This record gives sequence, structure tokens and C-alpha cells, in this order.
Amino acid sequence: MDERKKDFATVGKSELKVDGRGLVTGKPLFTADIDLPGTLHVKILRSPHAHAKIISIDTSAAEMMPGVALVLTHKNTPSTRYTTAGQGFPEPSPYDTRMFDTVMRFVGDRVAAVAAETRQIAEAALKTIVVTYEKLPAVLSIDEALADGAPVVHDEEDSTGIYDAKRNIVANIDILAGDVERGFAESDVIVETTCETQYAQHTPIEPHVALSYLAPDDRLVLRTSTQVPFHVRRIVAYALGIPVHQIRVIKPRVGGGFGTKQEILLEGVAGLVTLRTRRPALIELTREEEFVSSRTRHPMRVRVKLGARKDGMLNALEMEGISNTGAYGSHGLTVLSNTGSKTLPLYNKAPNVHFYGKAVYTNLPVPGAYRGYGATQGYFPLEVAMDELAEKLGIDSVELRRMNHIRAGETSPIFVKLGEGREGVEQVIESCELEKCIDIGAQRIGWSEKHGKKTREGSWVHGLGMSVHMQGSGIPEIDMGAATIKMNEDGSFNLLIGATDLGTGSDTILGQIAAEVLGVPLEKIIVYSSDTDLTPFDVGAYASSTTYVSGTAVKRAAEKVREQIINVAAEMLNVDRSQLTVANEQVCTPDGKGVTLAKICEQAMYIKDQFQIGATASGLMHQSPPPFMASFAEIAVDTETGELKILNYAVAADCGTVINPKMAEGQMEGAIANGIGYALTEEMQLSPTGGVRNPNLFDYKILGMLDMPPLDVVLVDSYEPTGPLGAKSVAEIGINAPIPTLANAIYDAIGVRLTKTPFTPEKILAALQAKTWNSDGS
Amino acid sequence: MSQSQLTNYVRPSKLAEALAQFREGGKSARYVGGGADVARTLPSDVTTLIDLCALNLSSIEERHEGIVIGATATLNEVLESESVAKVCGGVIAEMMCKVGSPLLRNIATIGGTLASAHSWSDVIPLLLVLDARVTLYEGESHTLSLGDLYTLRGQLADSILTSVTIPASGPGDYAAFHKFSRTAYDIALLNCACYVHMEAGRCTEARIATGGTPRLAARLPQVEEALRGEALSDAVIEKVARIAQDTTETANDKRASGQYRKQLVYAGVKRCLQQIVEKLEARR
Amino acid sequence: MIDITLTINGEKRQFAVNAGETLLELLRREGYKSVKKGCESGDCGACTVVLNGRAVTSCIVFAVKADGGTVLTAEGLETNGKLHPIQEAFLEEGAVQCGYCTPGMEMATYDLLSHNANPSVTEIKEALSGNLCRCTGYVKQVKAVKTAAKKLTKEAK
Repeated sequence: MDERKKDFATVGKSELKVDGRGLVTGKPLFTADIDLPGTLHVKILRSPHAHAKIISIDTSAAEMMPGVALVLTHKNTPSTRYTTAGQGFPEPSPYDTRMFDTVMRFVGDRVAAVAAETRQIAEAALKTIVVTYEKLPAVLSIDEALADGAPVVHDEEDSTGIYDAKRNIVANIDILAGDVERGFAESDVIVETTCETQYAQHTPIEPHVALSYLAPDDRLVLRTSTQVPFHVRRIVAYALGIPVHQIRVIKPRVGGGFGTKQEILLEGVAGLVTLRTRRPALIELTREEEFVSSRTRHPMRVRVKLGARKDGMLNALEMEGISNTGAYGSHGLTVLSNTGSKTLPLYNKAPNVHFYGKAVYTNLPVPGAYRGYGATQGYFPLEVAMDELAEKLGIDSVELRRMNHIRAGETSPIFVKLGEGREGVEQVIESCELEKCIDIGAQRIGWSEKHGKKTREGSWVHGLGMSVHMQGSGIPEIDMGAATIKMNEDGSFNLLIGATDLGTGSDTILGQIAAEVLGVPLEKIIVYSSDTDLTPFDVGAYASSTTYVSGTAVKRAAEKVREQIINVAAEMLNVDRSQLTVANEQVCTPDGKGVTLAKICEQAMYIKDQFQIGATASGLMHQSPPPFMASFAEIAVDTETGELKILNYAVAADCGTVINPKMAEGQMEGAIANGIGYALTEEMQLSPTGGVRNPNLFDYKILGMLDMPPLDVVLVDSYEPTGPLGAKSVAEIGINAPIPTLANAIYDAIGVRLTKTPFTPEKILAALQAKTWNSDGS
Repeated sequence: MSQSQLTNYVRPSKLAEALAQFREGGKSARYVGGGADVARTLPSDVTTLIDLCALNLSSIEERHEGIVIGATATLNEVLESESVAKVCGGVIAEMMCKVGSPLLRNIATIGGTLASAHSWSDVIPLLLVLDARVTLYEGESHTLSLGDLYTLRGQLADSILTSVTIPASGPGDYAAFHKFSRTAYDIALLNCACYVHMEAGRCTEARIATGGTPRLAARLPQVEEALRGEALSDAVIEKVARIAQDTTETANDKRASGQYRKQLVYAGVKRCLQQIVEKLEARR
Repeated sequence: MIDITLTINGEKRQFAVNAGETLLELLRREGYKSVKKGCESGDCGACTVVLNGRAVTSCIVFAVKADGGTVLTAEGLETNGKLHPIQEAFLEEGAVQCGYCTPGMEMATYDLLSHNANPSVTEIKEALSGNLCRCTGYVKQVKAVKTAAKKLTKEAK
């Protein structure tokens, strides 16, 4: 099969989701949709203080309450420290978390848990628990955390993996290529900008939920809404001190994750309740708990300095990132790494690059993985600085990107110096259609006609903004996924994959890859995923790894199976293997002699030299080919109120071969919507004592259907030679665009540069009023 | 939330019965229309809910005193009513489609909305400027202006709001509504409603109200005074919008600052009056 | 406990409910798992059902209030294994990603199309404005409603 010819039978088609029928008919497919007799409901008591020691905790009234089966506190649970970060072992996050600690480190931290017959009884029992706290001084901002003599968030002896706990520094990075001092000295023009991003939340419509129970063989089963079933198994085993083989993790349908479910939050507690009571245990976070005590985006302050020659070529890039990683350090190092590693290589022409920064503990809600994973925060100042540079140089913004962005055949020193939490991997870009993306986006938004025109309509002024981006496809040399395929006697196949579908459609696209290689329609592939007993390993859904890494495993497994099929067919037809091709559910010679796949399997299963046609294969990739994207928006800003309307949004992206167009578009559309919210309307507001003031969807505003602007998504024709059937990733890149695109559009419209998200009307108006208008109104 | 403290939920079919049940419950009883507000947040001492939706108070009728809307008509029923559409060229529907979402409007009742008196309510400022009157029952029925309902609230504790009446409109009656919010499906950061009566190109009567300041909707008498006798020129609109900005008290809350709200008062009054000018021009 | 009667997906059933129990809680405990818990405060729309012909967020409707009424959930759209045109449309247009908001969206769509056979894009967006989704950006859901409208019109002919 000539892959480059791209005459695919199912790949490239918008096949219907394999799990779609169950979803549209509302079948009980999600974690909390099954009722097990005897289930205990578990509710968690949370700390009202940002930083406090538990002096005493009296649970006797709760324990005596009728209907209460178990109460858990630090006194009767393991004291093992682990990380909640769902990452590959050894996790590049500190082991700083105890299941129930004696010190509370943020408002919402876990004090105790009650398991009871009903939710109401559990909630009532929580109210009877008497806790005496000794309040401790808290650090409630990055600056407070780094100040001399600041209170120490993690002063315990038994935490590991913290860079400098006494100074609240979880991680420290300093990466240098070339000589930036000299690079800036050589530059004709220098710009510098510092941008800050806010606390924001994933708000998956399904909050975190886990259900645990004992299987008939007394093994612990965890049915959980997770992105990382295998990491759940390992980390729960470690936290509870039980062997991995005693645990089975099943991921049912998941109602969205976006990174917040790349975390082991509830499974350990649920599992412990089950082990102690021998009953099923259900923990469902309320929406308020989801806001307060799950995970958030890392708020960051990022400074970018660019030096360029007067012809526009970049000569020096400096990026400094300070990340607030909250009360626990999960993903602290790696998100910070990504801030540089997924942004700076884009402008590889500058030989002098410096990326450095810190991730810092605070006594605030805990950030974790969130789509974009640091790149989102990094692109804000980078693409704003590029815009400033363009203006200073008198070069068009789009032109400046065209001159400086990386191209196929090129590399960047950052690739090898900066991985995710450790050294990276050298790589040469093998596919890059960013030029085409820029051309298409610019044309669709009407860039040359409209940019800089400041067209007025009453009190509204129009503006255009743009930005360009890359991301990655998995973590090279680290992320591994595997697939097992076995054949059935009607010519169908079971595809067992560890890869985790959270609504992203990975079951479907991985099925399509298998179907393509095996020459069958998608209906003949029965996909089952994310069950640690039945499916092979996969790191899980993060780092945009599924299509590229797990897809490669599926392709390899399918190729192995295809070989076996050909061998059997050769025997049956008495021809040489080299004569045979597999397509349209049969194996044929060029002159039309053939045998159906069903017959082949029947032969192998029942008739002669019987064996199970099947194979397992793994994918471990040696690079992380970036998808690329150009983003353009036309906005109107009301000079009377600061209101911002997005009139048009055009995005063009290169994700290699598009396995399923509607699904890939859906990923881009959803990511852009999320990014627009992050740019304009979303903000977790914190009280002066570190609590969340708006822990609900009434006051934390995500985009609704009426808020979506007209959105034009184009996936350009591209092919990544190292990817399965030419594919790269598409999952994360979209979310990085709206902040810088809209920041640049605001500048085009009203001449103010906003450097703190969200860009609310109030902020826009205040900036406008503060600016001195020139006499010509520019 | 399911409010497990509730022990009693009754649906009386007669007004007298409802009143008696309320008086029996004292502080622990509460009237509900749709019940949406209560289902979200219930004061801790309430154990009995008295659902008024079985009292047959949901009709919408045109009578000589105006459009009479039964208190338990849902907000969507009000939005879709052809009778209600006759008021000032359909302005009530223009406002109502911005209230919450259709899912909420199929539950929330007009009576419940007026009685809960949320400061961000979009319904209240518009009905204030349309000179709405409400009918209350506490053994007997009596009618008062919507404005008086709020000033006299403390004394009306066990009254049941049974209907709201909006005077019919004639030629020369124009109204508009504007709402500022963070997203489309959101409560108001600030809202504004304007009513004018125009004769021979001049405004003979004006009623203006803003809500969500963040306080409950209130009329702007100085703006109304400034409009009387004037034509709705750009200069006049600009002038009265500034008066509104200067004379309206605003305050901070977690959604917006008082200072920003001042700007929204200006812009809101301006936009409402500009909308009315457009409606005037469309009529010609 | 209060006794109530509800006709759910065409089936008349009797229940004993607590005064403060919501329609969402009742439906889920009686096995209608398509009705989802997203916020329990009426803000996200994941719990949308059609009550007496109109779409409502069932988490802020008291179960007792619904006494004597009819309820339609996503489970009731399918007939004898045949998908309802709304369900087909959501599937075909790629409007389903994680699927958690999908039943709620379908019920809001059902209300819309039973009162407006040919809604404009604006009317669609207004009708579904209370159904939040974090996966899709809403683009394909609008298309799905348009497609569903066409399918239903064709079926009616």
C-alpha cells in the first residue's frame, strides 16, 4: 500500500464515531451511570484555611451516625507521599502529596472523608467532624512565595523531588543556546514584554468521579473518569501499598478531561474505602468541588525579549517564565518546560536562545495539566512581542512570521536541550505547511485589506490580529502505547488499545488506522480501550500523543496481523506471498484469484495448522513532529464600553494526514472556543484568604452557543513521514491561539496592548482611557 | 441541589388554602412559582414549599386595564404571547429572550421573578418603565404599582402575587431595553430600560430605569425630567445619558466595579434611546 | 414521602419522593441515566429533559412539581432500535465528542423543532443557549440541528 498516494479507503473519511450510537441514545456509559448494590457514597471534608496544621480531629460523632460505614483521616490512612500527576514513571513531579495530610496547604485541601449509605448522610456526618486547626501564615502569590523569609509551603522531611523546598521552588530551568547577551547587542531592534495569565479551569461538563468495588476474585476494580488508567493503577498501588496486580482500572466513557483528568485524585480514597468495607464506593465531585479542589491552569508571568536585525531576522530570543504551581507540584516542572519547548523552536532562525524560569509553590488551588500545557501561556508574550517587533521594524506582522518561522528540513537547538522535565531529543522537521496555513488564514480574514484600517462603525472600531503556533505529537523516547489485534472468523477484528478516548474520538481514529491497514470497513473493527486487565499499556491521553504514538502501535500491530493473513492465504491459494494484496475484505492475486478474510480466519481457527491470528505491537517514537497553525481574527471594540465582539475567526492548521476530518475539525473548534474563553471571559477569582469566590458556572463564564463567533477551520494537505499514514497530532494546538491573536487584534483596533488575561470589557476600557490619544485618533 | 431540609411540598388549588398554609408555616414556609431559585439556594430555616402553580393563575389576557399576565405564567409563555407582543412593539420579548436560557424560562414564572427581586433582574426594570401594576392577595386582592411593591416589601410578607398588568400601548408609545453581560447566557452587569411617549416629534413622557447597579432596578427621575419636551436628537441623547451617568449610584461587586458601571449607565441609556429612534424611524 | 405519578417516555409510573428531591435525582435513581449531573444548579444544561412538552433543566425542578406530567428523555427518542432523526443528525454531523452534553442538547433540540420546524441559525443558538459544551465549540451542533430539522420535515411529508 503506497501511503503517500493517500488513496485511503477509510482514513480521511469522517466515519461515524464507534461509540456514537450509545452516546446519542443516552446509554449508561459514564462512570456514575451504573448502580451497584451496597454502594457507599463518599464525601470529603475540606480545609477552610489556606495554610494550617491539624492539631486535633474528632470523628467520633460521625463514626457513630447511623448509616456511616467508615471515616478516614490522616490517623487511619497510609502516610506514603506520592504525586497525583498522571505521568510516566519515574514521574517528573515531586512526591509531595499524602492522601490525608496533617497540614492543609490550600482552601479546599483534604481533611477527612466519610463513606455512608447515602450522600445526605455522608454530608450530615461531615458536619459533625470537629477539627482544631493551627493557622499558619500563607503565601498567596508568586511574589509572596519567593520573598525572603516567606512561609514554606512544603517543609516536611518526607517529600522528594522538590528543587528547593525552603524557597518554595518546585522546579528551576535554565537552558541556553548561543550567547543571548551578544545576540541582543548585535540586534538593531529589541522589544520586551511581560504577560500574565490567570487561574482558569477546564470545566469538563462531567466532574471528576470514581467508583471502586471488589471483583469476585477480591481484586480491587477502579471504574474512573480518567485520562491515564495505567498511571492510576500504578500510583494507587503505590499510595495504598498493594501490588499492581491486585488492581484493575477501567475507563468507561469520559465526559471531557482537557488535562484535569490526567491526575490521580479520587481513586485512592475510593479504593481504600472499598478495601476496608468490602463494599463499592462512589465519589462524585460537585461542581463547586471541581472548581476548588480538582486542578486548574498554571497561572504564569512570562517575559519575552526579542532582538532582531533591521531586515526582520530574529537574532536573539529570551523567555523567562514564573509559574504558580499551587499547593502541590504536580506537572509543575513539565508545564514550565513546555512553555519554552513548544514555543521557541518555532523561530529557529535566532541562534541565541535563553529560556529560564521557576515553578513556585503557593497556598492556592492546585494547577495541573491543561490542554496546551504551558505553551498557551508562552505564546501570549511571544506572539505579542513579535507583533511589537513588526511595528517597530515597519514590517507587516504576517510577513515577519513568514521570514522567521521554522520550515521542513530545519531544526532548532531547543529540541535537544529542552524536553518535558528533562533533556529533549534532537529532531529535524519533516513536515511543515505553516506557510500555506498563513496564506490561507490571511486570505480568509482579509488581512491585507483590513489590517491597520481601524474602520469605525459608530463607537465600534475594527481590528485584525494574528499569531502562529506549533505544538508537538507525544513525548519522544518517553510516551509508549501498544495495541493488540485478534481476528474473528467472520473477517472482523478486535482492537484492544490502552489509548484513552475522552471524547476525543481516539477509539474511532485508531479503529480507522487498523481498518485501513487490514483492508476492511471500520464496522469490522471492534474497538475496546483503556482496561488495564484486557488492553495493553498506553501512557494515556496527554501530550497530543494518541494519534502519533498509539496510532503507530495500531499500524504496526495491523501490519503484523496482515502478514499472518497473507501467509495463510498463500497456503490456501497455493501462490507465493509476494503475489498477494489485502483489500476490500479479501486477499487477492493480481489476476483476481482470491479468498475472503472470513475464510482465511475460519481456516486458521478450525481447519488446518490452527492458530489465533493476532499480534501485539508498541509505539515508541523518537521525535515529536509538531502540528502547525496560523490563527487570524477580526474583532470590533466598542470605545464606549470596552466590549469586544469577534466578527470572524479563521484558522488554518497542518496536522499531517487527517484521519477523520470532522473529528479533527471538532478538536480545533473546541480548542479555539476554550481558548477564547481563556482570553476573554474566564477567571477563577480568589479571595484575600485564598479561597475561590466563584466556584460555579453561574459566575465562571465559559462560552455558550451564542458566544461563538463565525469560525473557519481549514486543515491543510500535509504528510508527516514518521507518523502513522502521515498523521501528526491536532488535540492541543488550537487552544494556544486566541489569547495572542485577540491581544494583537485589540492593539490593531485601539492601540493598546493588554498584557493580562482575561481581556474583559472593563480592562479594555480602562486601558483605552489611560492611553493618550494622538490628535489623529490613532 | 436537592435541599434535603425540605419536609413538605404542597400544591394548593385555592388561594385561601395557600395563604393559610403559609401562615401556618410561619418563617419555615415559602411560596414558589417555578421553584428554580429555591432549588439553587434555600435559606436554612425553610422546610415547607407552597407551590402556587395549581392555582390556575397562568393565563394571559387582554382586558381594558391592559395585558393581564397571571403570576404563574412561565417566562417563555410571556415571551411567546401574542398579547404581550402588542406592548410597545414587542419590547418585552426583546428583553425576555435575554433572560437566562430557554431552559430556565420554561421553569421560572413571572410572579416568582418579580417576587424574588434579584438586583440583576432584566424583567423588573422594563416592567417598571412600562408602568406595570401587580395584584396581591392576602385574603382580599388589591393592586399597586410595581415600584410600590418593592418599597413596601416588608409589609407584604404573606401576600401572594397573583397577576401583573401592563397598560396597553398606543401610537406614540416606544420602549427599549439593553443589557450588558459577560457572556450571552449571563445575568446583567448592568441593564437599562426606557419608555417614552412621543407627540409631534417631542417626548411628552419618559420613564427610565437601570438595574444591576448592582442594586435593584430604580427609576432615574433627573433623566426623565431632562427628556420631557425634547426631541430625541443625538445631542439630547448624549446629554441625558451623561445626566444618567452622573446621577446614578453604582458600586463594586465581584463582576464589575462601580466606576465601570457608571460608564455602562451612560452607554445603556444612550443605546436604549438610540434603539427608540430607530423604532421611530421604522414606523415612518 | 410524597406519592407522584409521571409518564416517562410514554410509560406511566408511580414514585414515592422526598419533598426536596429534584426531577434529576428521581430520574437518575430510576435508571434514566441519560439525564446527566453537570452542576446541579441549572447552569450547564446537561440534565435537560422535556417536561410537558418544553425543555427544562431537571436539576432545578422539584420532582413533586412534575406530578401528573409527561417527561421525555433521550432514552425515549429511539423507537424499536431506530434512531430518532435528531440522534441521527448529531451522529452524522460529528456533533458528539465526549457525549456528556449530548442528551441535554438533543432534548433542547426536540423542544425547538416541535415548535419551529425550520429554525434559523440564530433561533437554534438561542434555543440551545443554556446547554454548555466544552468539547465542540458548538459548530457542529448547530449544523446537527439544521440537519435534524430537514430530516424531520422530510419524514413529515
